[in-house]
Amino acid sequence: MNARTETFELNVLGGQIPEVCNSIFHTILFLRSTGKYKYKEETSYSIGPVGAKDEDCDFLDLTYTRADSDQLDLFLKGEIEKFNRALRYNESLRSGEITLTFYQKKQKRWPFSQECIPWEMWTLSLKVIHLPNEHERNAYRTNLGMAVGEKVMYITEIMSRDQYVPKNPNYSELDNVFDSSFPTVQPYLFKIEHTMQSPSSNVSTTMRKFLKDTLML
Amino acid sequence: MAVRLSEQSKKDLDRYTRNFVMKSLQVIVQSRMGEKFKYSTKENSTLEWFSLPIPDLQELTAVARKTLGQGPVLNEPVNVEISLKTKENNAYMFLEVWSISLDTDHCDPDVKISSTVYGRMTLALKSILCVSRVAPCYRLAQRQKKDDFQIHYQYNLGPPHLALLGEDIQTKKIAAVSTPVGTIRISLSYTTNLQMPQKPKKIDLKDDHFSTPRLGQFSEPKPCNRKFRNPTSVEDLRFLDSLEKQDTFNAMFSTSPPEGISPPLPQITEMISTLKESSLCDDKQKTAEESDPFHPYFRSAVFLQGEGKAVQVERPEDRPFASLMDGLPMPGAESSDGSPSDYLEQGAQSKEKGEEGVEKTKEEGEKGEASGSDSEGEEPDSHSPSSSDFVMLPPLEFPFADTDPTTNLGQFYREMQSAPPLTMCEHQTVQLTDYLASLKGEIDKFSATQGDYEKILKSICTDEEEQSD
Repeated sequence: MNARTETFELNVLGGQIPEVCNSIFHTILFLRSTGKYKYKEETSYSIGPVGAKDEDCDFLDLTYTRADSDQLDLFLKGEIEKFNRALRYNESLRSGEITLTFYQKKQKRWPFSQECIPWEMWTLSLKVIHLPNEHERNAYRTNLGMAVGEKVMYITEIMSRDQYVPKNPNYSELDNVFDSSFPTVQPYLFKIEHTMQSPSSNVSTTMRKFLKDTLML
Repeated sequence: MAVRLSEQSKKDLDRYTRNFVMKSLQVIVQSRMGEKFKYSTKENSTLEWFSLPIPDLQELTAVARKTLGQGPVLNEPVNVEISLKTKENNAYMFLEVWSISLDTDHCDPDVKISSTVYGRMTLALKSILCVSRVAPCYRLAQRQKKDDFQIHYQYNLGPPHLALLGEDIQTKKIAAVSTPVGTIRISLSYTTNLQMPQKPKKIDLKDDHFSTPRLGQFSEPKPCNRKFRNPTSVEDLRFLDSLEKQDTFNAMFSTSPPEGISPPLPQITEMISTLKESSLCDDKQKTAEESDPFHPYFRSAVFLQGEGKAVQVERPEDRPFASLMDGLPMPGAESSDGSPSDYLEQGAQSKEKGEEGVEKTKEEGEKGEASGSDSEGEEPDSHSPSSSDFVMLPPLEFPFADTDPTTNLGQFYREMQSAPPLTMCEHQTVQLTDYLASLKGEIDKFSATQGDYEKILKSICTDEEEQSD
């Protein structure tokens, strides 16, 4: 099965990295979460509510909505902070990618372990820029807020298309589809990973790919 | 091509669609109030439509029900027009139009209504929630003030009037919900040109002047923010009340999710009816009192004596233009069918009872607020009857707080981040000219006294030579 992939490319100032990542990934997770399932039988269940909360950004002209779950927020912020530190405090790095992947687990026959099959990937490709004065930085704050807002609208449009999402599971299959570790919200199973790119590695990667493609011909 | 549904499926779909539209209208207008929301989950709560704990504001519900009517929803597109009105310029500047429509050309015939359609509606409602915050109008709504500008809303039916937005428009598809009878599409159109019209239009020339008015267009746009809103009209409340009475039993179910999530019915029925009695009656009583300028309390306020003692004149038959006010409920009219006139009557009686009645009303108001109904109670209780005086207090506003302390903190932080301008540079031009004028004078003075300085220098030099010799 091929996973759907969406990539957003944005130029950001150093201080804007966490808020850009949070606003986009929180929106995706809010849309890809349900309330907690309460099973009465193996196949019969009720769904609890998902709270919502508005978050104002300090370094962007933007307010976004996230699921009202502090635990989920904490987890996401932790993952994004790793990416932020790697990108911001390393002078040689100019850009990096952070990916939110939704997957489901499939049981395999003994002795093979479980298989994780991704079904949707959202990649945020950020390039860190520097602006010379405060006036430009303020203007960019507004512009980037609008750009992220456009991405949020695009996300909602994409999500409303009739595409594959895992079926609602039976009780025994719940943890193969949803992450039930959060107390008030139940997102589909997801993971967050990041990769870094320095300007030199970018060229070398491109060259390597070019040579590989040439040899394959 | 729409498919034939069973009676039960059709009923369910109609119910879900109606509630989806009602919730969408709530979410859109609530987002333009200029307030920061937190829809919290309650422990073990499953009684939320579309799994989202969005409270229904009673006034918005009343206006929405009045607009939608009682027939099937989405026979025509449902629109929410958001506009801006300034104090100086009396014209409305339309900012955005939200449209919810049913496209019958694209159906999903094999879909399950109770699970899949319901799930899709949940996702669409979340999408509306997300997009309403990132749309440009949200920022404007957060900055609205009573004396500066206000954001207004209006519901209507029919094709969206995008021409209201001017020429610079952007339209975004927010969500689509495929059902067996068609696809529900939600779109947002907004203006990118925020220029107020220079002069309000004096005469409206319409090509459809003699045709029937647009459905659902009953009144002018209303302020989104509760602080700027007039009390709900008696007509709205009467309409809501009649609907409530007809649909009481259905309404109890309409606040509960679909099958599989049904709680013990008697408890719910009891709870809802209690809340209804407390919140609805109280709200109606208060708002009806406020909206009727000839109500005894207002008449008492008009004839307020210097000592703060109210002179109560209860002669409703003597009120001016009484024959023109026949449509409105008479405060003294006797009826016992629970109509708004009953509430007015209760209000008058509680006035007579004095403090006891006041306390009861306040308690009921608190109950109503807790039930998630229209929170008019946030304002000072200026409309509650009191035996001593009837001074109308302005709504409580924080003198130095703009909207939200966290926003202020962020703004403060940003201001601190930017370097402050140097005060010595503020009057630089004036100082420089003065300085240049004084410099010229000083040079002239020095050149005039140059001979004296040279004499002094010579005398010093000669003294040193003599001493050395």
